[in-house]
Amino acid sequence: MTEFTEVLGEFGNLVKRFNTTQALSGLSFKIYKGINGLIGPNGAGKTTTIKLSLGLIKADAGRAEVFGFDCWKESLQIRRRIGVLYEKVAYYDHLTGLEHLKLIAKLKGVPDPVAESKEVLRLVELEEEAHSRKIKGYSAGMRQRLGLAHALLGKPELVILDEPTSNLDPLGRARVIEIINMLKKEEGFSFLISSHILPELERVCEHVVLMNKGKAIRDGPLEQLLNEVAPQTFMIKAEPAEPLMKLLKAEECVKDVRLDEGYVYVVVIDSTLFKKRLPALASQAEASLEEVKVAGRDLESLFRVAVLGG
Amino acid sequence: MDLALLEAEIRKVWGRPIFELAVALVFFISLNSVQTLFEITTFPRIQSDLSRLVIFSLIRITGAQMLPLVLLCGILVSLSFARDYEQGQMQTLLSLPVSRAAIFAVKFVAVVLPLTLLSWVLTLFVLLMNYCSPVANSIVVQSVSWALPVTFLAVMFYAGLAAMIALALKKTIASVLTTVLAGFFVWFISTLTPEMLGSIADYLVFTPYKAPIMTLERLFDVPFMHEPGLEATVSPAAFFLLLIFYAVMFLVPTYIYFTKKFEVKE
Repeated sequence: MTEFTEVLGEFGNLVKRFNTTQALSGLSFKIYKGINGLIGPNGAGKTTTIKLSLGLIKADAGRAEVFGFDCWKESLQIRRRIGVLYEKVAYYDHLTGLEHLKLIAKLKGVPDPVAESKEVLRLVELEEEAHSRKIKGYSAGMRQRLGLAHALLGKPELVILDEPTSNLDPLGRARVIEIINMLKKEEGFSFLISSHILPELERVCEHVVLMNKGKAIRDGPLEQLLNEVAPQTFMIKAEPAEPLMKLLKAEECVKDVRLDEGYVYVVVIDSTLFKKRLPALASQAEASLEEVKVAGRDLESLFRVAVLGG
Repeated sequence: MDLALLEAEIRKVWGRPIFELAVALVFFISLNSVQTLFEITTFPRIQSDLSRLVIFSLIRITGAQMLPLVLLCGILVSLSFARDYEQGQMQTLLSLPVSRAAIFAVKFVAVVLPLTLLSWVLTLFVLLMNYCSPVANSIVVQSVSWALPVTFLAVMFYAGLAAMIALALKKTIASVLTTVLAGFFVWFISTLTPEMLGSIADYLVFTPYKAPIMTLERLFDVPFMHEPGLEATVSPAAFFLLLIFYAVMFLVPTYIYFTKKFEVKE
């Protein structure tokens, strides 16, 4: 099992407000050497956190450090050691992919810009198109792969990927996951990956931060989180669901109840007692129990449970 | 400043058809403003003196070029900052290991330098073409060399204004329209007459639109172009200082904001 001892970044009690929107409200977590996942629903504050770590925005309060440098005041030192792929990919569209990468490589101070550009293009399988075609003619998927190549240039100590597979087809997504795994194992890259596609994150992440409403609600090694949370959550399909939910909420052995995609998610404190009480509660609510199962031991279930219980 | 980044930025800003249109526009205006030898008789203040003729033409061309240069500069700087912000290019640039000061400088130089050089080269070309003779050529080159810093400083004023508007509004269309309106407003003020403004009109020679022309007039000491006004009491050096002040008045606060406070929120 991976030891999470080497800390690359540390965020403490971060607060950020955009006009009327509270983007971050006391976010605290650490980025470790390895593959870190940043998970949360839309508006959880993931992209704000990424921008903050690169010095694109300034926190209203709290502490943000990467490699020991202040993210706002010393962002240049951080940017020298980081590669980033944003969800919204925008480059010099009048250049070819290779020309663009050569430019970025020069700016990053890469000793041999041409060779390294070709190498990262080979990794993302964009060699042929990148030599001749201008970026403005690229499909969304090709832009995404070029973005990944851009992020990997110069062998950064930390690669930040914001929704790296959002514009890719299933094969492309699988390839990106393979590349991330390979780079971690063979080259020792560390990643901070923000994504909605949880099954893919589950395949690569070692350490996970679950975010909701601008806070980290769970944070730890993925294996540990899955073990802690999964057995305590039940997924129930009942008809009608509302009366049963009302009764469940009043139960002492139940921590939280939410309806999501037809399932009643019940986070319990005492699963044995809950199993005993459920039939009686269903009968009292005049609801038929169509399906009762323990939430799966996967990232998606963990995410749902954490958000419900958070 | 990184030259590779500057080259990429220049190629982006001056991509087709912007460069071709700018050349055509400035060339046409310059050609239309040059004082031909045949027209001398219509301007009795100009004697049949080649040197004065060249200077008269130079000042007329510089004056005529001012509005298109202002508008072009405003539009291109607005696009360079606001469109980059909207499309996500700004966050890509600001995530690179390049200082904010260098990015700001690159964006400015990518617009201002080619625009100033374009104006200067076309003015030189039109004047040389018109007065082509060994004697005239040296006069043209000498006098036009003064137009370069004057045009540069005038363009810098509008570039600073456009950048400030773009960084404040952060929307491409709104920034371009506001910048164009601001450019027209400054031009409009300079066209007001003493009948409209009374004695205040005398001070219009110090507006950012008229000051560059007045600088050249004072520099070459050309009282033959119109009745001397308040500008005759001001030295060319003072006019240069005024132009420098205009050039930095929006540039400095915008630079400080961009390097110290600017955030990519979207």
